[in-house]
Amino acid sequence: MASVKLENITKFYEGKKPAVDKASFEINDKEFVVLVGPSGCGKSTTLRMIAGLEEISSGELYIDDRLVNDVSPKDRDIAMVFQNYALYPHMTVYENMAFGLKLRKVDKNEIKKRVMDAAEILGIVEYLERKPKALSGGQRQRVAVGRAIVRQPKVFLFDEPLSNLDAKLRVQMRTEISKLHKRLQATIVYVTHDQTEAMTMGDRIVVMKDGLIQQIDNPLNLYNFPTNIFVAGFIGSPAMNFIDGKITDSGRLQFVTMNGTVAMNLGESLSFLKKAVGKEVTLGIRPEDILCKHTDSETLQLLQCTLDVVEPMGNEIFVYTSIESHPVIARLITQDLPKVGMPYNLYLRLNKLHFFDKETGNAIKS
Amino acid sequence: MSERLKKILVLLTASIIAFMSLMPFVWMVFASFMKSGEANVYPPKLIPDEFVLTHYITLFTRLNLTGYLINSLVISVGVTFISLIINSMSGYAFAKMAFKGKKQIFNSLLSAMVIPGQVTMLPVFLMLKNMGLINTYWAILIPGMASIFGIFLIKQYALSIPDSLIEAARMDGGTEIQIYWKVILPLCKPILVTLGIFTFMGTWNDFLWPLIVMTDSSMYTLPVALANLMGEHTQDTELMMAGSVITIIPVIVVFLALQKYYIKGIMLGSVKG
Amino acid sequence: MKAKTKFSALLLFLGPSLGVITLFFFIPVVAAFSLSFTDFDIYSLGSWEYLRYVGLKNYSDLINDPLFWTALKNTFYFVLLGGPLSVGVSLGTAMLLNSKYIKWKGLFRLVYFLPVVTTLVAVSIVWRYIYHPRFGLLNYVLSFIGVGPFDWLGDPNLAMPAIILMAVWKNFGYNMIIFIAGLQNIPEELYEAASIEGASGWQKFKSITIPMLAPTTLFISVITMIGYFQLFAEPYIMTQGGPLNSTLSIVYYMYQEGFRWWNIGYSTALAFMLFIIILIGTLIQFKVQKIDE
Repeated sequence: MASVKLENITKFYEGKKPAVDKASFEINDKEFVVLVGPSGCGKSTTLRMIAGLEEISSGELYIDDRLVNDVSPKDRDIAMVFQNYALYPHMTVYENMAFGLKLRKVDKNEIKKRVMDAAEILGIVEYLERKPKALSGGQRQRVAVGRAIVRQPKVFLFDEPLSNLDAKLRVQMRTEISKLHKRLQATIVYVTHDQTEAMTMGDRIVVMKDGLIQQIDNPLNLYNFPTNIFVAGFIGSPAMNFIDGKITDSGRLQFVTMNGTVAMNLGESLSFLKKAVGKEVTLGIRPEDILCKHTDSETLQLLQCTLDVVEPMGNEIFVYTSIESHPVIARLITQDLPKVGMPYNLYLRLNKLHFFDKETGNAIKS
Repeated sequence: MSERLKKILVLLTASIIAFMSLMPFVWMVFASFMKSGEANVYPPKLIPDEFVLTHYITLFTRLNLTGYLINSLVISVGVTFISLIINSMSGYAFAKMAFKGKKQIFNSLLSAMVIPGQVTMLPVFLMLKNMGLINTYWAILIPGMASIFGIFLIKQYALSIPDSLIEAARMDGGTEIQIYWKVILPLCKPILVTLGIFTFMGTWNDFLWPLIVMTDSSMYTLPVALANLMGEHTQDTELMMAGSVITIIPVIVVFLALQKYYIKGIMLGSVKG
Repeated sequence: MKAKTKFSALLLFLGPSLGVITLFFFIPVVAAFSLSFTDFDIYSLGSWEYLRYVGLKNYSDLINDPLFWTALKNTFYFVLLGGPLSVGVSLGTAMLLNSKYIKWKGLFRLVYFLPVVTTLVAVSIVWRYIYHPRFGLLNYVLSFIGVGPFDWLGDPNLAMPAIILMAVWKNFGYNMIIFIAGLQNIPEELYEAASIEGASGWQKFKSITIPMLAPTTLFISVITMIGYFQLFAEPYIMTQGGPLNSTLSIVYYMYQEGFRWWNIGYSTALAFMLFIIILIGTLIQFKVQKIDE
C-alpha cells in the first residue's frame, strides 16, 4: 500500500477560473480520505487527476514519493470505482473483474484465485457468470468494487460510488466499504457530495468548495471546530443554525442580533471575542446544542421564542422557530411535546457557540 | 365510409402495390427456369411448362459465372471488413478522443459529402493506373477502405458509450488499441452490423466503378459481367434471368437475414438531415 | 474535458481513414478541378508531355456542345419528374403502412423494400424484358384495358418515362422507411385535437402531416435529387442512352467521354458541372424550405 501527496495541484480549463486551485494535502498509507463538497467544487476533478484521467495543469502529484504527473493511468498502480460503475456490458461479472489482470498478463490461475477471493469477500460468487445487465444496482456496485480489489492496487479511488443506490442500500454499502477498508488495509481516496458518507467513512475529510480546499481534518474536529461558515454549514444534519448580529462591549461583552431583539451575555470563556467588538458576525449553533430545560451544570443562554413547526421523531423532537428571519432548528430530547404557536423557552449552550466573521466567513477563534 | 370498407380498401391498395413490387422478381425467377425461347411468346407465360436448369448450368460452365461470383464475393467481403475496421477506428476517435481541430476536420468531412463521387473517378482511375492497380481487386478495395458516411455512422453511435467505460478500461491497464478492440468494438456491434450490410450491399451492387477499373473480363464483378452478357445474349431472355437471379440472391439473403439492422441504418443515416 | 489524446494514438486511429479519404477523395477533387482546365486526352494518357493548359476551353466547349444540353435536359427530366414522383409514392405508401387499418405491416414493408436492396443492373435487365414491345409483361397487362402496345424503350418519347417508372419502383421503399419514422414522430394528440375541431381527413393531412413532415421531406428530397442526378446504370443497361439520345444522362455522357474516348479534360469539366448543378439544387431546396417556414 502507499501514500499519495498533492502539492499545489491546479486544474484549469481555458478561459475559466481554476476548477481546482492549488490543492495540497497528503494521504497516508492505509488512510481513508474523503473529498467532500457540493457539486462543481472540484472534488471529482481532483480525484481524476490522481487517477491520471485528467491532465494536471500545474503542481505535483506523488504516489509513494514517485512523481506521477506524466505517468499514464495504467502505470500508476491505482484502481477506481466509478459513479455509474462502468462495468463492461458485453462481459460477464467474472470477465469484468478479470479484465484488468488479463491485460496485465497475470497468470490464469492467479487471476482465478484473486477473482474468487474478491467475489467471496463481496458475496457475488453466484453471479460470476452473469452479465451486468442482469444484476441489481447493489450487485453491480459490488462488482465494480471487486474489479478494483482484484488488481491489488496501491491506492483505491472511489468516485461517488453510492450515489446511484437507493437510501437503504447506500447505508448498507457504506458500512461494507468501511469494513473492506479495514480488512484490506487499503489506502482509499473517496469522493462524495454526501456529508454523512464523509463523516461516517473517512479517517480524514477534505472539504472543498469552488476549487478551493476549505478544511482538512478528522470528522470530529471538522464537526466541532469548523474553520469557516461554509464547513460549519456543510457538515452536520440538520445543519448548524446561523444568526447574524454584532459583538458589543458596553461594560459587558454581548452578542446582539441585527435588530436588537436578542442580546446575550458572553461569559468569561468567550472573552476572546473582544477583538471582534463592533464587527458584524454570524453566530452558529448546532441544533443539538439547544436545550429545552435549564440545567445548572453548564452556562446557558435563554432564548424566548414561538415554535413554527414541531416534528416528533420518537427519540427526539425537532422544533422550528426563527430569530429575526433566521430559521432556527433545535433538536430536543424530551418526552413533552411542545405546542406550535406557543411561547417557548430554549437554552443555548454558550460553550458550543461558534462565531464567524461575517465579511470573510472565517471562524473567530480564541 | 364504414370502418370495414376502409380496412378492405387499405389492404387492397397495399396488396396491389405489393403485387407490383414482387411481380418482376416472380417473373424473373420463373423465366430463369424456362426453356430457351419460352419467355419470348405472346401472351407471356408466367409458369414454365417444365422447370429446367439449363441456363444456370450454361452460366456456370460455359460463361464462367463462378469466376465473377468469386470476384464479387472477394471484393464485397474484403471492402466490408477492411472498411469496418478503418471507419470504426476513425469514428471512435472522432467520438471519444480529444484533439485540436477535431470539429473542423469532422465538419469538413461532412460537407465534402455533397461532392458526387463521379468528380473523383477520373483522377482516381489515373492514380490507380499509374500504380498498376487497374484490373486488380485493389482498384476497388483501396478507394473503398474508408467512407465518410461510415465514419459518421460509427461516431454517432460511439458517442452514446459512456466515457467512464473507456476510463475504466484505461485504469484496468488497456492500451488504446486494447480499449478499441476489447471494449469499443464489442459495444459497437449493432452499428457495425448495420454499416457492414450497407457496405456489403453497396459494393456488391455497384456498377459504374467496377465497370471503369475492371476492363479485363476475368476481373469483372457480377453486375459488370451481367451487363456485358446482356450485349451478347439480348435474345436469351431466360439466360439473362438466371444471371439476374444469381446476382440478386446474395444481397437478398443478407438483407432478409439482417433486415432489422438495415432498416435501422436508414433511420440513423437520415437523422443527420 | 478529457486529457488530450496522444499523437501516436491519433495517428493510428485516424491516419488510415483520413489518409485514404485525402488520397482518394480530396486530392482527386482538386486534381479533377485542375484537369478540367487541360486537354488531357488519350495521347496525354500515354505521356504527360502532351498535356496542355487550355483555360476555360472545356467549359466553353460544353456550352456549345448540343449533346451536353441533351444530356442536361434528359437528366433534369429524370430528376424533376422522377424525383417528386418517387417522393410522392414513398409518402403515399408510408401513410398506407402507417394507417390504423393496415394488417401484416412488417410483411408489406419487407416486400416494398425488396427492390431497394436488389442489384440495379439485374433489375434493369429484368425491366428491359418487362418493357419488351412484343412479349413484355407490361404491354400484356395494358392490353386488358385496351391500351398499347407501346415500344417503351424504343420510342424516344417513352424511353425516359419508362426509366422513371422503373426508378420509382426500385427506390420508393427506401424513402418510405424514413417517412414512416417521420410519421410516427407526429404526436397522435395533434390529430385528435384536429378531429375534435372538425377537420376532415384531407385537412388533417394538409395542415398537420405535411408541415410536421417538412424536415423529413426536405432530407428525402435532397438525397433523392442527389441520387437521381447521378443516373447511369439504367440507361446504360436498358437503352444505351438511346433512342436518339433521349436517355443520355450527364453521368453517362461523362462516362463515354472519359472512359470510352479518353477525353479526360472534357469529362472532368462535365463532372464539375454535375457537382455545381447538384450543389445549386441542394441550396434551392434548403431555400424553399426556409421560405415555407
